[in-house]
Amino acid sequence: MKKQLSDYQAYTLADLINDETFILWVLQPDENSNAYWQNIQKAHPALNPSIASAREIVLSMRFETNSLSAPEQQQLWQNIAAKTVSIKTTGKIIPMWYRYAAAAVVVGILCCIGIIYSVNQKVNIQTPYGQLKNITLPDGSVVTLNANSNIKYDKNWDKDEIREVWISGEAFLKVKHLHQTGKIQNHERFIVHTGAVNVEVLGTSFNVNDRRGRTEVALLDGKISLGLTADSAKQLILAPGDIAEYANGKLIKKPINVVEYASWKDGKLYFRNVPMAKIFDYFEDIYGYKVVVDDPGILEKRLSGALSAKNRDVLFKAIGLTLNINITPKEDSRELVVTSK
Amino acid sequence: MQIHQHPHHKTATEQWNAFKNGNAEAFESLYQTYSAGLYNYGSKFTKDKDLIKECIQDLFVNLWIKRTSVGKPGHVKNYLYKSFRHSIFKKTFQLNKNESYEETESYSFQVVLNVEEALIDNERQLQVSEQLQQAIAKLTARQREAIFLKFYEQLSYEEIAEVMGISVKAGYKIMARSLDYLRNNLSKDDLLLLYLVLHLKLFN
Repeated sequence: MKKQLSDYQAYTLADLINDETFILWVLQPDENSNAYWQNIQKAHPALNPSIASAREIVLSMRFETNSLSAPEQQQLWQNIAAKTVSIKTTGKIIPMWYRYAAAAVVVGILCCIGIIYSVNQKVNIQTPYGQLKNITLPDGSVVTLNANSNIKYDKNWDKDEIREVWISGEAFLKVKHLHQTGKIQNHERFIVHTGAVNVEVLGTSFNVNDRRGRTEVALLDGKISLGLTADSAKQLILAPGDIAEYANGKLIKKPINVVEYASWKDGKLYFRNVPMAKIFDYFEDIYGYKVVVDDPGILEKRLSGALSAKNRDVLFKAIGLTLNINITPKEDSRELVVTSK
Repeated sequence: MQIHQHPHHKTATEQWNAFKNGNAEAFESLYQTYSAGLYNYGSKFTKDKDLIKECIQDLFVNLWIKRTSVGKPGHVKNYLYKSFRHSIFKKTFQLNKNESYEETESYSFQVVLNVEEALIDNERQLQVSEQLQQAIAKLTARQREAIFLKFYEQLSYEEIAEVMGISVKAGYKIMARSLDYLRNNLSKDDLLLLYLVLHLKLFN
């Protein structure tokens, strides 16, 4: 049904948002729709402010879509193809020089491993400010280490010893589940040590944050138990979605949205009504700046939303726009200067 | 973003028949057409990326193995979503051996309504999106899943019933109850915005 030009005269913001042709024009403009809506704007200039706000709203609201990256999707297809349609590579002849090259590479790798092995039995990895690192542990478990964080573990894990890592800062762990049935063997256990808290798990994914004398553990999947270094008799069991916090000698459970606690590992930050004071603490930990605020009122402002953390400057800019403040990094003094606009 | 057109301009049924005859290209284009949507659907049940990928892999590998014996489903997408959902439930269940597997309300289905970061400076929008999020969060997993399948994946009530393993009547009921709840708990403006968010997916 085609509308008459005059039908739009009394259009409100709500009418625009409810108009499918309007939404289509905003999301997928083409020559026809451009001409159509330009006509309307010309005929009813009073409508322009409503059109502008409706556009803004349409462009800004959406369902979050989770997607695989193109390489991941391609890799997954390769895996499937290898088990289905891919033609078997039978009797392919490898050129002679290639074999030598392969042998040389293998020898080279073995030498390196030998050197590292003989010099250092412990692995100690520290991330610099502003950089994440993915680490695969000897058992195949995966750790994503946030910026300005540290992990230590033994280079070799014995077949019948407990799997142990020491973490300071923040890390997301995806622990390989080794326990099948029966009594739990030592090597099926996995313990994360932080300053004050020990986290014991079987196989699960969770986030550990150990900064500023406070330890936070957020559980995404599986089941874990927490104990204090000082008092191992007291145990706290976490279920998926739980967050435990250790501060001032006490270990407590908090019901919060867990997803936001581990969002950093995917280059995103989720905030739900988080005070700026907490967000600035995070920036100090991650980027290594000292935050200087001209108006303490800024610290009490709260922020909600999903932000991309991939680009630091864009992140500061987006928050600045939201709260009407300026966030300026000063490289020489390592300060993050925050001022009201 | 959902792409609802098939490459090569073949209809879904033609593609399906070619695949059943062992055509590798048709099989790959089935994957290209549905994998992104399946991944997104799976991510609402669990945050475990590897588990979702594993389920997608199993789904397609099994599909290929059984290609001659699988029937001619009226709706390919439906068939894939149903098997995929089943696989996700089974895998999640295997991971938590101590919990018993029941096809009940006790699963998680999380959708997030997002405010685009570029336009985050509008305080009203933040407020609204938070309200919507809260209202959506109060629905049951089943209700959220039905809404997702209806508005995001544009399935009919018959298709939703098949994917979720419920009767068509139950599907209508779930949807009516969730929309009722939202109607009673959101202001008129917010409700309008919610419909907008849901409908946007029809075009995106």
